[in-house]
Amino acid sequence: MSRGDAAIEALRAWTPEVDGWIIAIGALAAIACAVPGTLLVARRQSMAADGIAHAVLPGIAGAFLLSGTRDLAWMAGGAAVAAVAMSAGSAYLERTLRVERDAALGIAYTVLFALGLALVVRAADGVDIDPSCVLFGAIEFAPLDRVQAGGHEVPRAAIVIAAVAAANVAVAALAWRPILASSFDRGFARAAGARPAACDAVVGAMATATCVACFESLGSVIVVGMLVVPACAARLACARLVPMAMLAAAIGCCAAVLGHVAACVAAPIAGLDAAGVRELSTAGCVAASLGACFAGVAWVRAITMRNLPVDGTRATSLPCAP
Amino acid sequence: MTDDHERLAISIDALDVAYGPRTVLQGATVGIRAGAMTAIVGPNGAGKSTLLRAVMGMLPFSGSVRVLGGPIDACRKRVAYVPQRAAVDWDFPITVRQVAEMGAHARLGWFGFTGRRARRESLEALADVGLADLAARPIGELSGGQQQRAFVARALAQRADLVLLDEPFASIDATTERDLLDLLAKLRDRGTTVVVVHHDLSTVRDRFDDAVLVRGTVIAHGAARKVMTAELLARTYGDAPGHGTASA
Repeated sequence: MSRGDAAIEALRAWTPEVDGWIIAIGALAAIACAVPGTLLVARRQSMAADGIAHAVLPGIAGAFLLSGTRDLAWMAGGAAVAAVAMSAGSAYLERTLRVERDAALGIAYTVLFALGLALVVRAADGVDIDPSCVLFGAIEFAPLDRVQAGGHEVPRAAIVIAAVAAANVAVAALAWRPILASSFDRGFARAAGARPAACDAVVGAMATATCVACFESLGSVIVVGMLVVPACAARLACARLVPMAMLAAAIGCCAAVLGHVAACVAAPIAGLDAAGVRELSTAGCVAASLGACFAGVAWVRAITMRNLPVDGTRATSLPCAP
Repeated sequence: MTDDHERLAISIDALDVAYGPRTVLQGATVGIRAGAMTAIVGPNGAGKSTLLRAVMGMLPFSGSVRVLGGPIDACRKRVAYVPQRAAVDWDFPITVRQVAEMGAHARLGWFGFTGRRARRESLEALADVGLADLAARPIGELSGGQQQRAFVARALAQRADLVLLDEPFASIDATTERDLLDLLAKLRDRGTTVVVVHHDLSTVRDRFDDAVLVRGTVIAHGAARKVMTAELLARTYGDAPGHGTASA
């Protein structure tokens, strides 16, 4: 069998119960990440996405060690405590010791992440949680953990991520105006009673909840990519936040599909199946697809900008964006 | 005394402000007339912006500050504040109309079903300042003068009785500054109190009704033509470097 035939054979072996749900969970994660990701990127806080995604680890691991379960309430509670610890730690370094903002975040979250890894290794005997799953997720196994919902068996991860995605959209819609004002002009927002500090907390809470929900499926490294890369790509093409969030969700969904297809066909195409490697990591391939999507959007933007007249009205985003 | 207080948009008495161990303002006392266009002038680091931020209740202070007859928290909706350009993220993905809408939301409330009304009022405000055609453009693509016009439109949409602008003419050319001053004068003529932190001393005497000279405290305040004297300016600026266009 040729490598191409092997790749087609790999796709033919797809089943909706497994592969369909893997893609659906990836797409739901993309939608859940689009709202906080867009806000963080537009507010120039991409590093905070990195920080939150890593800093929640000790909270999740600590909650697991304490409770012995992966119950969502415990996980979310532990993650929230860790996220607040990271915010407080980086704010202390920034304000008291005058450490530069990104550096302060970097110090705070790497310390917490290292603590989290130590806790995970400590918990490894508990079998339910292990370091590689923490880093790269286990989206391939997510469809196997099912619960009853509306008379159907649905993967638990899909329900959790969909709930967080819906909550993110609802919260962003509700707090849209003060978040917009405090992101663009903090001084005005503060003077006009829009409570920018509360808006910061809302955005941080959305990012934390999303990281917790996506943690098992995507892992702490890939979830950063899902938060930041689609939003950065969308920023290249959009001049307003709502289209930017929608495009970010669409780019993330594309990457989820492309990533799982790539994970299935890359091994046979590269001839790795002969060495016993049947599939690559879906989460890793999703991350690579995110990079490819970003490159694609950047390329389209470059072509479009080149064709625009240089008359002083050249836009900083694609003309169709608003 | 009561009559005086009723005519004052801002009444500041014995205001002290410090950033940590550094005292920025000490014993500042000034009344800013309602319905007047007032310039706050002084050298860099004199405490002009701090004075505005104290008025808006954005930093801790001791002393008394009354705005529109009461504490600032009782009248935030009636006060429009335009911070320094550097404090605004001009690359944030937001359109000119959305910026103007913020003013309407500040008045109508940040939550609730007021979107259509805010949109209509913001478009009217943008038409007032000559930016209706640019309503859909990202704010970052406008020139510095147009961006300040958008902020004036935001104040109009807020229907503010008091507008505080912190160095609105920074980084814009003389022609644009003149146009903006015309716009602010029009705002004043409608009955709005306009307070501007200003650096160009050459325009204060002719374009502003009142002036407040600040250097660590209020050196003098009153009608611009009376306050902008060589003696008071010398006391305000002393040997302060870079006060540029002082002509008095």
